[in-house]
Amino acid sequence: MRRNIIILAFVALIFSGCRKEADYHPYIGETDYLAYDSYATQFEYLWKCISTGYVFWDVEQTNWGDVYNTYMPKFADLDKKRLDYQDVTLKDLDTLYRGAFGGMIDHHMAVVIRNLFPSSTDTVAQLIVRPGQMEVEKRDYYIEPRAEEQNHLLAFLDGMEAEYDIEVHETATAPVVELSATVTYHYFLIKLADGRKIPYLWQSMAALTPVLRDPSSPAYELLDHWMKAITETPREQLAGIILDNRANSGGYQDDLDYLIGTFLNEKKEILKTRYKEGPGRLEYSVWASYCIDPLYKYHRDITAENIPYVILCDINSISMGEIEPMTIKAVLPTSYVIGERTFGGTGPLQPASSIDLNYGGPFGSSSTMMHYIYTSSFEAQINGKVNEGIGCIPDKTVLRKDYNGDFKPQLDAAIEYIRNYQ
Amino acid sequence: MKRPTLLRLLVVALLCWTAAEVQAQWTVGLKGGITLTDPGRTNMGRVDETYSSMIGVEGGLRASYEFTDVLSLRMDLSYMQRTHYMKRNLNYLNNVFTIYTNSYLMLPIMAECTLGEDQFQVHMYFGGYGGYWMRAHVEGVTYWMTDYYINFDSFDENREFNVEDQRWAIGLVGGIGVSFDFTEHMGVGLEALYYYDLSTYHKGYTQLTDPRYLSTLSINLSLYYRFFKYEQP
Repeated sequence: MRRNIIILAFVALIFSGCRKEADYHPYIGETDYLAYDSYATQFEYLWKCISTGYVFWDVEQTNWGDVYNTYMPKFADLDKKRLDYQDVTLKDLDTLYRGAFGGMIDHHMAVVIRNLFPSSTDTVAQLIVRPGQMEVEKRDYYIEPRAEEQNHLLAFLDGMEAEYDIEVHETATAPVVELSATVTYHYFLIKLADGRKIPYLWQSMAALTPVLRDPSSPAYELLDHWMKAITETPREQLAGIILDNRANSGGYQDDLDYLIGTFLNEKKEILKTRYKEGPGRLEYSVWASYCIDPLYKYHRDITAENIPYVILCDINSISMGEIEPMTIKAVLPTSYVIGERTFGGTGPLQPASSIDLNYGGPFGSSSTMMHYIYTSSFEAQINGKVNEGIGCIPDKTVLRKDYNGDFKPQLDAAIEYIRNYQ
Repeated sequence: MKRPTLLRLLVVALLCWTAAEVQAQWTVGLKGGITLTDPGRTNMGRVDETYSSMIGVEGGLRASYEFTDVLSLRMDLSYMQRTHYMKRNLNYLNNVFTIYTNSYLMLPIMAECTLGEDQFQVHMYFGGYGGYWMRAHVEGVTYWMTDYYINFDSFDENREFNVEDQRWAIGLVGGIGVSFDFTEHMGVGLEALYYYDLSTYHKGYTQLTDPRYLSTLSINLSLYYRFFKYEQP
C-alpha cells in the first residue's frame, strides 16, 4: 500500500508540472518597465501596455495579435539598420506606428513617440499618430481640423449681432489650469420676432464647472447670466435653450451637473462606465451606473414646462463636446440635437497620474519619456451602446459641407425648431 | 405482434438480471459540503489588487463500484462553487472588491482504496476530473469617477462569458475520507478532496500568455446506500 501511495504522489508531481507559467504583463504604463534600448523593445512595451490596459477591446476591429506579428519584425529591421550605422528617422518610425496604431477605434488616442536615436535629418522632436483624426478625415462631410474650425466659428460668432436680433452678447475667456488651456465663452440672448428669447451659449471647451465653482473667474458672470436666463426667465418669454457644442474639444465631466442636473427633479443614470480590472483584454469591471443628482444652484423642470433644449454639434465636437448631447438626449425628453455626426471620442479620461487607479488611460510623458500614449481611461455606454468611433448622431442632420462651410444654417435650423416647437 | 412482445420481455428480463447482478457492487449516495478555492493567479503587477481564496458550497451525487474489498471505482457528479475574491487596497478605492463565484459541474472519476474491515473505514482517492464552468457570478463594489469625485456602485449579477473564458476544465483529484456504516446498507462519509486544474480558465493570447489554474479543496459529508449487504468480518 505504501508503495502505491508513493507511486500516486509521484504521478501527481509529474502532472503538477503541466501547469504553465504566465508571461509577465506590464500593466498599462508600469513605470518599472520603462527601460528599453531598441525600437523593437519600445514597440513591444507599448504593444503590451495597450494589450492589457486599452478599454475598447470588446468593440475594437484591429487584430492586435496580427499587429504584433506584422510590426515586430519591421521594428527589429530598424534596429538592424541602426546597428549598420544607418540613420533611422522619425519618418521611418511614423510609417510603422501609423500602420500599427492607425486603425484603433479609440478616437481620443494619440501616440506620441520620440526617436530613441535621433537622426540629424529629423526636423521635429516627436511623431504623433491620431487614429481618430485619421478616420474622421475620411468622412465625406469632413471640412477642416478643429483648430481651424474654431477660428472660423469665432469669426461667425463675432458677426452674429448683424445676422440676428441679439438682446445680450457677452464674451469672456478664462484660463483653466486642469485643461492647460484658455477657454472662450460666448453668451447671446437671441430675441425672436414674437419677443420670446433664446439663451445661447458657445464655449471652446466643456468648462462650466471650474468657472461656476470660482466666482472670481473672468467668465463666472457670463455663465451665471446664461444659467439664470435659462432658469429664471418667465416661461412665456422663454422660447427655448441652445447649447452650441460645435468645435468643442471636450473638458469637464462634471459639467453634466449643470447641463442635466439643473433640469432634474430626481437622481438619474445617464451612462455606464467600466474600467480594465484585469490584464485580459476583455477582463473588465462590471458596468457602473453613472448618475446625476438634481442641482439646485440653478434649477428648472424644463420637462414639466415643455421647454425645448437644442444642442448643436458637428464633426469636431469631441469627447465631452459629444457626450453632452448624447446624455442630454438620453435623459431630457425636450432635448433635440442638430448638426453633424460627431467625432466619436466617447471614453472618459483621467490624467496619466491616475493610471494606478484605473489601469487604463494615458501613460508616459512626451517631455520626460520617449513615449506618451493618450487613450481613454474608461469605456462608456449610453442607452446600452458603446458609441466609440460613432459619436452622437443628431436628430436632424445639417451639414456645413452643404453650405460651403457656413455655420449659419445649423443655427438657423435650431432657431427654427424652437420657434415652431409646440 | 407476438414475436416483438416476446423479444421485449426477454430484453427486459436480461436487463433486470444484469442490473441485479451489477447493482450488487454499487454504492450510491448524496453529498454536500464546502469548498475553498485558490484562484491561481497573480495581480500581474497591479500592486493594489489582492486575490485570495473564498469559501463556496458543493452538492451532488456520488457512486462507487467495488471490484474488491480494497479497490473501487468512484464517480461523482456535483455542482461546485469555486469562489475567489479580489480586493483593491489603494486609499481611495479600498472599499472596491469583487467576489467571483464560478459554478462548475464536476465529474471526478477516482480509484478508491479502502482500509479497514469493520463499520469504520478509511478511504483514499486518486483520479482525474472533467468540469464545465456553468455560471460566472460577480458581487461587490465598483467605482466611477468624475473630475472631482470618486463614486461607488454595488453590484450583484451574472457575468456573461466571453472568448477569453475557458469553460471546460480538466485536472487531477485526490484525497482522503472516512466512512461509518450505521446499518447493513447505509452509512455516512466525510471526505476531503483536492481538485487541481490542469487547464486554465483564462485563455490568454499567443504573444501574452496568462494561464490561471484553480485549485479547490472540497470537504463534504455524504449519505450513501450500498446495494450489497455489509458483512461483518
